[in-house]
Parts: sequence; structure tokens; C-alpha cells
Amino acid sequence: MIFNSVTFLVFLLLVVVLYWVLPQRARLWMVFLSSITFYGFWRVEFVPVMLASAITDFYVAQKIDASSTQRRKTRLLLVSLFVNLGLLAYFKYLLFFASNVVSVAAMLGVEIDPITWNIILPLGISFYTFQTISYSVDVYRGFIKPEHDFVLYGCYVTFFPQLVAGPVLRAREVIPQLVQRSAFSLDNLAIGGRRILYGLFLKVVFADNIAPFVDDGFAAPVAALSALDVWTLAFLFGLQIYFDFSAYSHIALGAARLMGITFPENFNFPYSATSPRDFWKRWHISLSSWIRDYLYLPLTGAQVHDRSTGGLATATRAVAASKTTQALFLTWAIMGLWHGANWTFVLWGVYHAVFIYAYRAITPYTKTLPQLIQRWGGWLLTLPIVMLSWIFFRADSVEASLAMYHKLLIPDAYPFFGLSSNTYIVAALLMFATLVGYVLHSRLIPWLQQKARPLYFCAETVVFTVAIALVFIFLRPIQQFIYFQF
Amino acid sequence: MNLRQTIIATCIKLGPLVLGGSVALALLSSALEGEGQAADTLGLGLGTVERFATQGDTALHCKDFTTSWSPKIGRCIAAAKSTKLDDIVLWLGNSQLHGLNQPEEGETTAIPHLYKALKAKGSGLLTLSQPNANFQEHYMLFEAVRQELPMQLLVLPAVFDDTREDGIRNELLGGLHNSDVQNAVSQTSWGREAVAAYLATQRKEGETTQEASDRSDMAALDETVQEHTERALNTWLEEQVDLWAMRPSFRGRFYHTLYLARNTLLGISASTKRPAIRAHYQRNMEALQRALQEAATHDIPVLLYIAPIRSDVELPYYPNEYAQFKEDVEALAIEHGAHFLNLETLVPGDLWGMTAPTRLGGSPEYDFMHFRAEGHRLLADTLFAEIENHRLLARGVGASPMYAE
Repeated sequence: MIFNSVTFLVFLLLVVVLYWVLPQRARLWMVFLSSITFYGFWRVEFVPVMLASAITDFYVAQKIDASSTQRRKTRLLLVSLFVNLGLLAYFKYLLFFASNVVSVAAMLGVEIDPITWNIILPLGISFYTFQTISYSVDVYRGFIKPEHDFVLYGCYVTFFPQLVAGPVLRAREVIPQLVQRSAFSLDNLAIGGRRILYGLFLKVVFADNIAPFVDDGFAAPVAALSALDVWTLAFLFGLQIYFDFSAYSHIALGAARLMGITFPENFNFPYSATSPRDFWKRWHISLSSWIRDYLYLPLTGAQVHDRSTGGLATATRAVAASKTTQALFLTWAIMGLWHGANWTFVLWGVYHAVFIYAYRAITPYTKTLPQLIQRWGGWLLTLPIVMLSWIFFRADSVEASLAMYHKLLIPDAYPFFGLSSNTYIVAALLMFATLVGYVLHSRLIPWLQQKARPLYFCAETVVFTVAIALVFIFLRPIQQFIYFQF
Repeated sequence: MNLRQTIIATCIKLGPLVLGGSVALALLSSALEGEGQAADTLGLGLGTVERFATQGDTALHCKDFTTSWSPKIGRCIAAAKSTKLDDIVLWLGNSQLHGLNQPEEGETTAIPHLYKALKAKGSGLLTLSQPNANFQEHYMLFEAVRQELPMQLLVLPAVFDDTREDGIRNELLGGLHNSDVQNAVSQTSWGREAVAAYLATQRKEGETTQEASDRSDMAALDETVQEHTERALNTWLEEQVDLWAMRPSFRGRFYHTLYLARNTLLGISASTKRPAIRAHYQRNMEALQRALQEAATHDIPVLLYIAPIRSDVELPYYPNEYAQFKEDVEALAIEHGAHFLNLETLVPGDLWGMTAPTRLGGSPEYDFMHFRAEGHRLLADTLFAEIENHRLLARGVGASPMYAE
């Protein structure tokens, strides 16, 4: 089910009301069944795939906990990994790998018939498989005890606010809140409602209206674009994907909050980041912390922390620098591939790995600079580098991406405009609005809340009037959320 | 907490949301009364009306395949077939062909004049025009009509402004129902996009035509269970709540207001020079080339003319870009054996209209596209003279095999 729709709003209202009136056991069943229904509204035939992943890890975790030897625990964990990664491999990567095999074979003069199957990617598979893997691994590491109540566990895996596009949650973040329902509070209602409105606004007013400009720009022949156009499209898509994805997270957090359940934040003004490390502590925080705890740190051989605040930290002294570097690049290549079955996503990941590597290399020298310069200089460098990475993410092919990057190196490619004037205006205005939004959120709003509550109340009312009017006008499921394709 | 404290706490926490929502809905309700004109006619200019010529019950001039308030192309094609004439002249264009400025009783656009003149020579005339029609749309329509009618001559205006447009609008996708037309346009990237868009709008089992064409608003739900519930809920809401049914109109007005605000802030008016959009220009010139190539292949003469533009004031184009455009069009005409004509100064300044202000609180501005009945007469007479003098009707046959009965 898609969030920006009347169906979802009606569904959410029903679920929230039932959540607060039903007793404990019935409530859990209601959450579980409504989450499956939520998923089935997309395609009911893929519900068994999701349940297969959930059921596998439910039983594997119990067996791991009951095992007496480390060897058996490891084998059982491998079963979980095999099933979950196997599902991903089939649904998401089979055609990609097959086409690469055909291409390589063709280069070697061997003709192989390509696979012509139509494999539909199950919605949210990249998210719920990571979630169930994290559950099994946490049990394996002894961080949590396995859950013996399948309905409770099923609620955790399938909980509809975060099922399709995250945040990627750990069991210990959700299960205790499902077990012990918090008391109904107006605070949760107000906060949840605000987050949902905010998310819908970002999605239907901003992201969906930016999409045609981005589509138009990336559909144009690269030869017709100027270097300025490449910069503009990088920033514009960077804004589109930020509004789109953070919108989903806001709605997810808001919907959960209406039920008194608090999710960790998934975005924290990423375009105010002053370094790549800072960026990855602000962008898709749940995924970057997952990657760190379940992929990067194990690859470095470093001890895994049982809490993570997101982002990739420098390795501990106990780990060799070369191993850290290898782990960095491998992790990011995998992170890129997780986003999509295309070499452009792998290159996107490697791009960020290079950025992080370079940052680590120069940090010892920049640490001595004044704080102001570190902060502003870091931001002025980080923002354009991050935005340019989105070219790989959005372009149709490696060739198109490289051609666009190449434009940036040609001085003669700068002084003309290849796109409609509105494209530049929209990019500039929204970038400005994003930065103003950050300043308002971090400075003005806290001040108003503390020192001028009546003024804050009035200002909020005006803002909500405009937001609700625009959401009312623009609410329609015209565009999927970008992260649905992952 | 006592009751008073609870109420205060509730007001503070939920007040902005509830108040904001109430005020928003009240404002939208009050805006219901001032519903604006249809988006298409917004661009026509002050005192300019749409006129789609008919001859009795016979439609001579049509707009698109789906819009409910304007003549559908299917009607025009059927009308042309019913004449049983072996030779049809196809005239494609933009709103200059159907926009008549300050019409008086009995005045018409160029189409009836040219129709009469051609009929006297034993040829029929079929005219299709859309606001800001671009060459990609012209090429697709040329291919679509060629499959249906014996085309003797293609008359095609070249409008620099319209090279800024891109893609084939939804209302014309019906022209892609023929697989030969699909194959023809699919040779280009923009054509493939159009075919994909067309296929996506095709009626599914049990769906009405209206539902199929409304589906673009629910594109993200295609082939999901939610598509059905969303459609049902939307239909119910549209029937029960006027505000909900008026949302497309509100969106149009919002975009128009943004457009006016943009122009006001940036000092843009109808006379402001607008640069070519390279990517769109290239795709449109590619479409023009394809149209001329296909016409030559099928032995259909083409009369390609630079469209009249208001020339007594400074043009809203950069001179070098406009000059390059005219050169490019002429070069393509020469390359593919089309007959080229420059009519940009044909219509004198006093026959042109004015357009509505394009800024908030602004005054009427020059309309560079739409003129009065006398200008239309001039256009028809000039084109006919050119056709006659160069014997354009005598070249080629272009009979469609489908027409043979």
C-alpha cells in the first residue's frame, strides 16, 4: 500500500483506533494481520515470500539460542543468510548477474541465450530481509533472546509503517514497545499527526513536482546538456530523493507514533553535513548503522558494539589499516548494489568509499584548522561532492553517468543552458528552502518554543494551513516512492 | 490534571493541526466559486477564442483524441473519409490555427477559406491543431493520418517557440493505436517514451475509457489491489465532496499562480526573450527531419512555412537563435525536397491581438501568436497561392492502401 493515497489514510485511521481499543493479544493479532493486509494491497502473491523470510529466522533464531556449540550456531546462522540472501539473489539480482554473464561470454566469443523471465521484485524485500537477518545475527551474538511468540515476532518483521522502505529496525527497538503498550497520550497523537503531514507535504508537493524536471533532464541526450545542467540535475535529483525518502520515513515514524511506538530517526538534515562521516550519520541512518554493525565491522574483524549511532567510524587501533580500507570499499560496493541491480549503483557506492577514504586521509591535517573553517569549509566541500554522487544513482547507464561527469571537466561546456528555465529556478529555490528549513529547525523553532509560545502557536497554525491545503490538492498516488524500487 | 488543564493541553498540542486544517478547507471552499478557465484557453490571449471550423455537420478542424469539450480527431478523419475524395491536404499546427482574435459575426479562421479553395480543385482539407504543438506531435499525427487517408500534401508550420516543448501530450496518444505508427515513432527515444505512455493508458479488462484515461493520476498503483480501492474511494469522494472533485482545477490554478509569481519576481513577460532549450530543440528537429523523410519516401509533397509572428515589435527570441532556427528548417526542407516559405512578416501588426497579463497585477501584453480574421484570410490565401503556383497538388499520389474499398 502506498502512503500518499486515500486508501492508506483510511487504513491508518482504522488501525490506530483498533490499536487503542483492543486488548493486548487481539491488538497484536490486529497489527500482524493489518500489516500483511497492507503488504497484500500491493501484490497478495508476494506475501508468502515475506512470510518465508520471517518464519525462517523465527525458527533459526530459536535453534541458535538452543544450540550448545558455536559450530552449530554458525551453521544455523548460515541457513538464515542462505534463505534471505537467496531470496534477494533470485528476485533482485538474478537477471542482472545473468545479463553480465551473457555480456562477458559475448566478449569471449561465446553466445549464450539471455534469460527472458519476467521476475517482479517484491516490494520491500531489501528491507525486511535485512531486518530478519539482523534478528538472527543479534541472537547469534547473544545480544537478544529469541522471541517464542510468532505473532509478536511477526509484528516486528511486518509492522506496516516501516515494512516497505524502512527504517531498518532492530528487534530490541520495536518488540518491547509492542509488548508493553504505552499509555495513550495527546503528545503522541500530535507528534504523529505532524510527522505524517510533514511527510505527505514533502512527498506530494515537493518530490512529485520535482520528478518531471528530473525525468526530463536525465532523458535528454547528454550532448545537449551543459556542465551547468549536470550540476543542476545532480542537485535537483539529490533534493528529489531526499524529499521522497525522508517523506516516507516521516510518515512511517508518524504512523508508528500514533500508536505510541517510537522509531529512531532516519534522517537528520543530511545536506547540512560537514564531512562524509557526518553525512552518513544523517542520511538513511538505520541502513548505515545496519551496514556498519552487520557488514563493515565484521569485515574489519573489529569488535562489534551492541549499539550504533549510525555512520561508519574509523577502525579501532587493533585493526590493520589495510583491512579497514578493504572493508570500506567492499562494504560500500555492497551497499551500492543493495540499492539496485546495476553497475551504476555499485559505482555510487565506490564513489562514497573514495570520498570517505580521502576524508580519513586528510583529517589529521585539517584537525588543526579553526573550528569555523573546518565546519564551513567541510560543508562547502561535502555538499557538492554528495550531490554529484547522485548522478550515478539516477542515470540510466554507466556510459551516461561518465559522460555527464566528463562534462564537468570541460570549461566550454559551462556557458549555456540546455534545460527549461524552470528547472534551474526550482533547483535553486528548493535548495535555498532546504537550507532555510535547517536553520529554522535548529535555531528559530527551539527559540520560539521556549521564549514565544503564543507566536509559535500562530506560526505553526499558518504553516499547517498552507501545508494541509496543498496536501489536500496534491494527494494522489501519481509517483511511487523512489526507495520502493529497492 | 483537571478538565480545564486537559482542554488547554489538548488545544495547545492539537490546536495548530485542527485549526490549520479547518482554515485550509474553508479557504479552499471559498475558492470554489472563482473557478478559472480551462488550462488550454488560458494561453489564447485576451479576446481570442477557439474556433474549430465545420462545414455544416462536417468537421474540418479538430484538436485531439480525448478532450471532452473539443472536437475529436476521429470525427475529422471520418468526415474526410466520407467525402470520398482521393486527395486530402493535411494541415498541422498550433493554436495559431484555431485561435481567432476579437472575432466579429461570421468571421472564421484560415481553415474554411483554404478548404473552399482546395475543394474547388477537387481536394479535401483536414486540419489538426493543439496549443504549443511541437514537431514530435506533428510527426506522430502525420504518420497516424497517413495510415487512414490518401494524403496529397502536408502543410506544416515551423514555430520556434514550440521547439521548447517536448514529448507527445496524453490527449494525442490515441494516434498510436496503429502498430505501424508505433513502429515509426519508436525509432526515436521520445517516440518510445510516447508508445510506453500509450500502452500504459490502454483500457484494462472491465475498465471504462474514462477510467483508463484517469489512470495517470494513479500511475503508482498500476496493477495492484490498491488501484481498485483507491479508485472506489476517489469516486465516492468526488460524488460526495465538491472540494474533492475540484482538486484538478485547484492544481491548475496553483500552477498558474506560481507561473505568474515567477514572472513577477523575475520580470518575465510575453516579450521577454526566451532561449532555446537545446535538448528539446534537438528532439524536435529530429522529428521534423523524420516527417520530411517519410513524406518524401511516400511521395507526399510538403509545404513547410515559417509561421507568421508579430513583427512590428521586438521578438521574444534571441536573434541568433531564431535565425539559426530558420536556417535549420530551410536546410531540412531543401535536403528532403520540401517546399519552404517564410511567412513570419505576413500579418501586419494591427491585426494581432493582446494576451492576458503574465505577471501578478500586470497589464495586457503583446500576443505574438494569434491574430484577427483578416490575418487568417491572408494566411489561407498565401498558402493557396503557393500551392497553386508551384503545383504542389499535382505532385505525387500518396494514396493510402487502407482507403481503397
